[in-house]
Amino acid sequence: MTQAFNLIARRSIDKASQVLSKALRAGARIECVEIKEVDISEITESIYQDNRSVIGAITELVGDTNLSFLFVADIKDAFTLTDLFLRKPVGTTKEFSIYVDSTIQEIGNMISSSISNVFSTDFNVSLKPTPPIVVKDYEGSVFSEFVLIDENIGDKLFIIDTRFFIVAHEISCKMYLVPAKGTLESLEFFFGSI
Amino acid sequence: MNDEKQPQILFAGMADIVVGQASAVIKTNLGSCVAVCLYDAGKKAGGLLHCMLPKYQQFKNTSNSGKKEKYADTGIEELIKRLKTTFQTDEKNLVAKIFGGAKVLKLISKNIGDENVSSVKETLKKKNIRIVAAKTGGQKGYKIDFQLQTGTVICQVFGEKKEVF
Repeated sequence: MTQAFNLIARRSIDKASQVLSKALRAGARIECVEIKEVDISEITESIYQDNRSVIGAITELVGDTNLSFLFVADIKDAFTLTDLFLRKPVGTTKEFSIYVDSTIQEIGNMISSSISNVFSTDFNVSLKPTPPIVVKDYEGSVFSEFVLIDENIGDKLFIIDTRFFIVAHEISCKMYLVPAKGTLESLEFFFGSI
Repeated sequence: MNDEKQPQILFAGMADIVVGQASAVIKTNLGSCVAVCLYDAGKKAGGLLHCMLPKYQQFKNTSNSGKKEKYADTGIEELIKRLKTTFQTDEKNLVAKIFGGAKVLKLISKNIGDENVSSVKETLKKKNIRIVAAKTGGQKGYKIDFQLQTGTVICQVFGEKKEVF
């Protein structure tokens, strides 16, 4: 694993925590669980075992190098996030609506933008996020589609697995950042030239 | 005390093949990927291929071509081989049930799901393996339970009721 990617990933997660805290007006902490290379069959097998129904936002970060970004939230937790985002008492949102869709899209947008900011301001790697695609489905299906955005994908995926903690609320969300083939080598190059 | 034996639960990831015998259950989730369930009723043995892409030929010259299980054509060959070596099944006794191939991300123009389904059908036809049940396409993900006791597949499209095939 490249040290460059590890460092950028951790900085990005810190930045994303700050942005999310401000938006929700609640203490939010995104914790990095693992940054690792995984076999595509093994990672998906473990996701299929959980088999939750989720809402996800998929974004691509394109520019000097390319990455795919996925934010997923359990459906009931997406309702809580919507209430926090819209400053409503938690428990107000009880079913899926355009507001839930927009909230997840906006959170996906905020986090992916904050990651691209870290890349460009701290490490001089220019990246732009594409508009997030929101999808409501089984977590396994969402993750499969996320992985298949790049159909030239290899057998191994390099992922950042995270967990979200929102103060006073038990919320189960995850985000994955997957560099496209050749991205890690490009980052080493950029890092070497700083 | 309940002496009833619980079935063994096996999970198939992406680009994966899982084979087993009664009374195991093979589970997977699908989006644009396709699940090919092959079953030999005489031996009560079967296997599930979870393929991601249509044809090995399209990718064989790229550095990422990788596992044969990733592709519909080479994956089906591999599944038949695996069933033969593990359970001594005969290709002539196998029947197929296929699921998946949805277009979950509507904004992405390419319909890889359709291509996967076509490639699976074409390969099975070449192998003279009959497709006895299929549920493919749509815009939502699939949850699949392949029960090797009976060869039955329980399929649930996201937001819909379970269907038995």
